[in-house]
Amino acid sequence: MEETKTKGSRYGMVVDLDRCTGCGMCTVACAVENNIPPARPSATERTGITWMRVSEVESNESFPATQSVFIPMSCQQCEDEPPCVSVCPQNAVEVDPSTGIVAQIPERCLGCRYCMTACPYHARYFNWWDPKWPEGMENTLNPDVSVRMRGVVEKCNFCHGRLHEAKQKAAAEGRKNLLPGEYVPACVETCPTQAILFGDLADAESDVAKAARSESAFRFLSRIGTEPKVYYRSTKAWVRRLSEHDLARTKKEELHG
Amino acid sequence: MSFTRRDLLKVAGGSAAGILLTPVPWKLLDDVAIWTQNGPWIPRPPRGDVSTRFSTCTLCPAGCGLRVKLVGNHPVSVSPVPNHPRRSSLCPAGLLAHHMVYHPLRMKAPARIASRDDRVDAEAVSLQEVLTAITSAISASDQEGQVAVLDQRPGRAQSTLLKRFVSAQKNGVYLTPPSDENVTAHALNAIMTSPIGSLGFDIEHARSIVSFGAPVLEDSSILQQQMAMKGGERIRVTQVESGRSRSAVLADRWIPIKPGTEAAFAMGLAHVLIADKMYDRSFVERLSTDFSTYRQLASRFTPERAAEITGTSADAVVGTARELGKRTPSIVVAGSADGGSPHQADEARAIWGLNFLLGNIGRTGGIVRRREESFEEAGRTFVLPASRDLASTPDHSIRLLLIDSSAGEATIPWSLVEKKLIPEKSLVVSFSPILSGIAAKSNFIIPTPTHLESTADVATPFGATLPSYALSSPLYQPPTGVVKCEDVLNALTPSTGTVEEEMKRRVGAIHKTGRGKVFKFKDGSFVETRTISSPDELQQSLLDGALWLDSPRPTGARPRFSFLEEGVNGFNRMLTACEKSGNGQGGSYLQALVLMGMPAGLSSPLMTKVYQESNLRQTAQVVLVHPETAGSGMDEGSTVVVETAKGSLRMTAHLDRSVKPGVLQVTTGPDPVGFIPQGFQQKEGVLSLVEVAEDGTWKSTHAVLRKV
Repeated sequence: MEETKTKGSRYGMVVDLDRCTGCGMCTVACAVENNIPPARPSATERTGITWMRVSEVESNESFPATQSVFIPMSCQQCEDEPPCVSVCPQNAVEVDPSTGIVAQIPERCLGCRYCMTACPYHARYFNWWDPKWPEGMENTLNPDVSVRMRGVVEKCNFCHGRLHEAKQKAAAEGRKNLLPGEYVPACVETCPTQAILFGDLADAESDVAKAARSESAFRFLSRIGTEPKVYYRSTKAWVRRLSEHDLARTKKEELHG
Repeated sequence: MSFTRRDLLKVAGGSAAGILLTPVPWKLLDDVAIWTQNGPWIPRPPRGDVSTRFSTCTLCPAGCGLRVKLVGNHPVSVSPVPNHPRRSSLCPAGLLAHHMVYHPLRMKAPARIASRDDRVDAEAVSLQEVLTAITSAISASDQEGQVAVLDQRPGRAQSTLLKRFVSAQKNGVYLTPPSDENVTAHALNAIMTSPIGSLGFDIEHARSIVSFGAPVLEDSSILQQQMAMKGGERIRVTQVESGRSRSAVLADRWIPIKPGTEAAFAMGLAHVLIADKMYDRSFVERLSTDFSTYRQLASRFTPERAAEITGTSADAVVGTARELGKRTPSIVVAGSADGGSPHQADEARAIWGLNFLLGNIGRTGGIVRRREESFEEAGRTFVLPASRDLASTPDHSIRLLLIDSSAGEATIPWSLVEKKLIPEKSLVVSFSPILSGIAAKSNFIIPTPTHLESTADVATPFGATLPSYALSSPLYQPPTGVVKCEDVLNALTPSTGTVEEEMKRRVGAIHKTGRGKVFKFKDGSFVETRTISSPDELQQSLLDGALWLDSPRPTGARPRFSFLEEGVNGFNRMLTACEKSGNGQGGSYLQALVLMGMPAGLSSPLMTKVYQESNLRQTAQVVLVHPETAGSGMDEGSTVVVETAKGSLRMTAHLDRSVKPGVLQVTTGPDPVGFIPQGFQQKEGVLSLVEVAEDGTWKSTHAVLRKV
């Protein structure tokens, strides 16, 4: 495993693509946890907000040999100079040195969307509309997460509210450190096939660090050197080869090149 | 020393410059940013004490456990109950179960429904007006079967009330929607010469599964089981169906047969199993009444012949059969995804018959006998009517149809219901929490409590190997104007009883048996039923969050059976069912319509995340088609018209090389337009295009795809 560059923890995850069934649990669990509103009728894949988005990617073979893989894609929590950090004129993106988590601070964001352009993983989302839920449904919002307004960018922050809650619990119990498994994002908790491992990559003995070191592990667009802390695993060679592709290709591009 | 004007300016200037070096202006800026982002138009999360409660999901018959986090009195999130014996995970709909009470299409007063073209308008009326209309229709009924109740979720305590209501009517009939459950139960009972009671499918202990359209991998339990197996051992799943469903995508092997040729493929498998002597010879020869006839029939379906009819390869037939025969225990199951048609009776018989050929009856990893759900029958002093499949009801025979969709509804074509009604004289009243699906086609809707708004029960899911019982305790108060189904039934027939009484009777019967154990959601512990002191204590446990599970039934004698219907008629019927070539094989202009999808009705508005804001699930407005079928004039995203003999729909084409050429793959829902609350365009979608056969199935429909 690579040398730890931040002090303290380096939270990261390993997604086992051979286990992912594309059920969408992680996507909706994330939306519930982080108070992401339902789509407006005119919203599309491009304008909707899904911090954890699962895409079905097909192999190049045609019927009946086509194979599919479901790829959950959230903020990749880049470690080395995250592109979104360096382009933000407002300091609205910060890397927490104690956790390694790339945080988006909506209060500072002026909505220039440079970070969205800079993000190679298309993992950032812009609030094109003020958040709106059907009447009464605002009573189901998570009180640990604030609701963002129109005109700001947002993205996955590994359920920061849960980290705070876990830290508060640890402090109340007189502990300085979190117990293994005490803090997990909503997507990890709800995945029915346990396809997502989460933990501290800085702890070489943790399950997540071991999984990240496994032979079948890889990271998307590793060639650009952003050192994501989100790893993927697959035993299928064609899936591993996807890691160097740009996943933002549209269906049209896929079909016609 | 004097203080001059110049000094004053210096101090002011210095202070202004110095204050920039303090946190004050930045704090003010930060606060202003926060204040301006938290205006009154931004929704505020609820505040209050955090607590946890447990309940059971009633969105589908699976009855998963729910761990609900509340802030004050408001449920804010739902998570699965760890180590739940049925399922220790949820589906997205279950995870969002607490949103249903806020569904934009929620009905809060009885309404008369008026449909004009695609537009549906609901005009509020009094409950008395609806009751008067129902009473008039009952009075006008003069023939048997004219007063019908369609129970969209049979087996509940409320189902017993519906049956009691029917039995009190002179011309009453209790109906269930066409389903694979009905077809499977019928097929298995027909195969066995003496029925052996309830059956369960032990697919989680099989080493190989051949699924004819059953959504075995939509539910994560098989996958979890696969992953838990050690030493490289895993359940191998072969999915046989024309559409590329999620189970087909996830299966080890997908065999895309032509729609409607399942019986021929099954018979091809039988041919190979017999020819290679991979069937359970002693079981078949000892207990089968017609093996020689069956073998004679199977001999006609060589792998080559089966491949020719089904549009696959002989290797696929041989490979599937050999895996079934060698990788034992193996099981063959049949079913369909939501919105898909049930199998035809002969197809079901051919498919399920393979389990008898393999000797898969009464053994682990096969079809096992389950204890009777005695708690549904025990202690009852009244006679209940037999249930009948809606499809088997004579056409134009129903004057009054009460549809209970209060617990969700089966996705069936409205045309199937409509043809059972007496034209111009019928009255359809739906009990439904939302204006959607079949309820939107009714004359009246009576709004009922939705999920987690009233106490409800979840009985044994179809095909489960152990009987079970759970109660769903309410987390919300239903809004004013909402009426319980039982209140309406009692207003019409005072002796109908209440759901609470029926649940109490069932819990009492369970307690009396003393069998099984109770799994408590709170701490994951099991308690023996016999150690629970009273029925009230058991009921309270279930209401607090628990699942009662029966003990396994001792293995009994294996039944005698016949593969085919008795006499020469059985041979010919099955031969005809197998020889039919199915749709979609013909010329270049006709394609088969395959329905696949997710429930169109009760789903949270937040499900837009998986079908509108990502491409994870297709909406009802999209047709998936192979580029070869689409032809050169059609491009990705083209607006197209899908046309069948029943009508046409405008859709968006998605070109997908993984779809079987010749097949138009369309989902039944959801439809994003359905979440617009007022004056919405309520479309039935692709179900309005299907051709329903005489036996109530709609497996495939010839269709034409045209670019607009």
